[in-house]
Amino acid sequence: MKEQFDKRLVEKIKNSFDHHEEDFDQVEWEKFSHVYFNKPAKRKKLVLWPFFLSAVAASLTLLFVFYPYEKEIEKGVTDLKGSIAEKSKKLDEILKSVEDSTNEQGKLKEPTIASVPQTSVDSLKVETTAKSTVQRETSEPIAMLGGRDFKPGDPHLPLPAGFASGGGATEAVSSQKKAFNSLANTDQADQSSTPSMDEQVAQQLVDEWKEGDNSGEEPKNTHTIIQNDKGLESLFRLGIQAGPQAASNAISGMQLGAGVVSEFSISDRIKLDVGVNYAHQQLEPETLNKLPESMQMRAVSSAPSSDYSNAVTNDYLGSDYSMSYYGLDIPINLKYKVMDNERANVFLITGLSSMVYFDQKGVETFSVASKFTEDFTGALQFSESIQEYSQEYTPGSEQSNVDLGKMLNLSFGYEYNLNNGTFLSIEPYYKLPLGNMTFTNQQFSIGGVNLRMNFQFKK
Amino acid sequence: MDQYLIQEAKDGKPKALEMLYKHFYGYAMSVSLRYSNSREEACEIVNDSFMKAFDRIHQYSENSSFKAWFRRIVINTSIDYYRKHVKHYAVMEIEKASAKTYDASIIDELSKADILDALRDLPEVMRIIFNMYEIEGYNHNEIGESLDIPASTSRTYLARAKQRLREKITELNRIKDEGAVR
Repeated sequence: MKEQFDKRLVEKIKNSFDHHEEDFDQVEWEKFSHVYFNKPAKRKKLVLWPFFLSAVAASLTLLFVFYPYEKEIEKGVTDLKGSIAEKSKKLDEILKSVEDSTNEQGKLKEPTIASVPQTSVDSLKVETTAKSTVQRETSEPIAMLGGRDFKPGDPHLPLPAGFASGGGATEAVSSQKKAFNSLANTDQADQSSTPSMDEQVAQQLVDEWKEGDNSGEEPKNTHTIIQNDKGLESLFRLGIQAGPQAASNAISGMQLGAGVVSEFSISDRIKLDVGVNYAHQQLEPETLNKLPESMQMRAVSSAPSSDYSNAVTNDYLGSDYSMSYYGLDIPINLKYKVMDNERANVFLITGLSSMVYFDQKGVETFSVASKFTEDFTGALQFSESIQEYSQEYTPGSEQSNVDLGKMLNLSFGYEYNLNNGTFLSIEPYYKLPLGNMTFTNQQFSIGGVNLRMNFQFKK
Repeated sequence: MDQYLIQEAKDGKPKALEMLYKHFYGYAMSVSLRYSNSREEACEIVNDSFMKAFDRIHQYSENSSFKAWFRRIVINTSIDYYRKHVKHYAVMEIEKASAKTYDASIIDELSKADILDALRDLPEVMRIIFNMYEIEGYNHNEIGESLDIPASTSRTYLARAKQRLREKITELNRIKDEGAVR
């Protein structure tokens, strides 16, 4: 009995609705066409990929290619500079030697000397050279003497002028040897081909020796170590940071932001920070009249002045709006060191932030008053109720997903040196809007605290 | 005619989209009305269905019937709508076993409004299962996959839906009879 009832009911439903079509409703078409043809086009996600990939590629190149060879590259440049300077000096010496020898040749052009064998002339010249402060081209290069065993008090020790005599010579022998050896090692081949050394070069050797004595001092404390290390430190630091943040009028409360940041040292007190932070915000728009036209259509069309629209949406009560985004915050900040302690620094930080949005979304929740419902007989029955609907809006193809320099960063940071080139810092910040942001044309500020770990690379 | 319209719609011609909307609106409404709680909800489902259909019209193969393709979209949209709003509707109560007898002849006297009213009196999940199984011809496994429920639950809900419909239609008939007597 039940089965038969059910079967007949199903057949009845099928027969009733198979060929049944509801009447066309022009109002529904108006509503549909308004939404469909004003629907924002899908965002071109691929546009952001080149930027992202370039940034990753650049970072990886910097990290794996440049830094491992940074020392070699710098050493190469330094050697090249030294080599050029030395060659230039050698050229001057050769020119000077040629000039000197030309003058001497005038003196040596005597018949008695001309008959003396060449070896005798050479030995005579060596003796003359030892007494004189000026080296001649026939004498043995001073650098080559460094390889010999010098005895303290040896009268033939070819010390530079003003240093050869006196008790200080004994203590200075080892340092002097070191200085001479360093010169010999620098470019022995060149030295051997340059047979003379003038006073200027000798003075330079003394200076080098003195400097060598100074650098031999033992480090006295940690601060000294840091000071000495400073010369070896790179001007670049790479850091990671993360921390809570919240926007003004936030709906979702605190959000976690995180990213990477690079610090470039401009001077001892001034640094440049460039970073990328991933962030998400969900907030309530403050200025509704600046919302995009598509989001305001419903409110505009329900205004009493428009009779036609009134007919369509006469039960429209009002809309609430919210907007959210996922994106990258790219800050470029200047840091000024206001306090420089042994292990801790305090910075004042300011700069501009640019925003790149991945997923901007505006949501309109509108309320509609429904005054009648159908009863079971199909007749309209008065029953007032309020229904809520939501509509999502995304930026159109003509709307940008980038806000360049639209936020002013104000911050200060406390940085603590953890040794081994690692620095921990805490940076409370506040970002002020400098213009309309996101496709909803809203101005909002963001506050938060970043906990940051910086790593300094050695040269 | 339809194929020409569809081709024009594929080219993104607004006039063709409008014509398709006007042409299939009534049909879509007749389907969605059976799945929805109210006419407003049915309108929303229909508009959502047209949105999907117009956005994916390039996926439609002209070898098949547009009407059947679109009908499937309307049904799927109705199911999506149910999934989206499922938390807002009360969970059905346990049905009591009934040994009543039903007079099948009263079915002939039912109007479309009566049928819609009886269907809307069902909890949404039961209504969808009844429509999908009895009218559209889906089996319980397919229904279970669509609604994320076991096939056995679908069977149980269908049985309960039928029982409720029997009771509702009997009651409607009784009210009509009482009205006629007065």
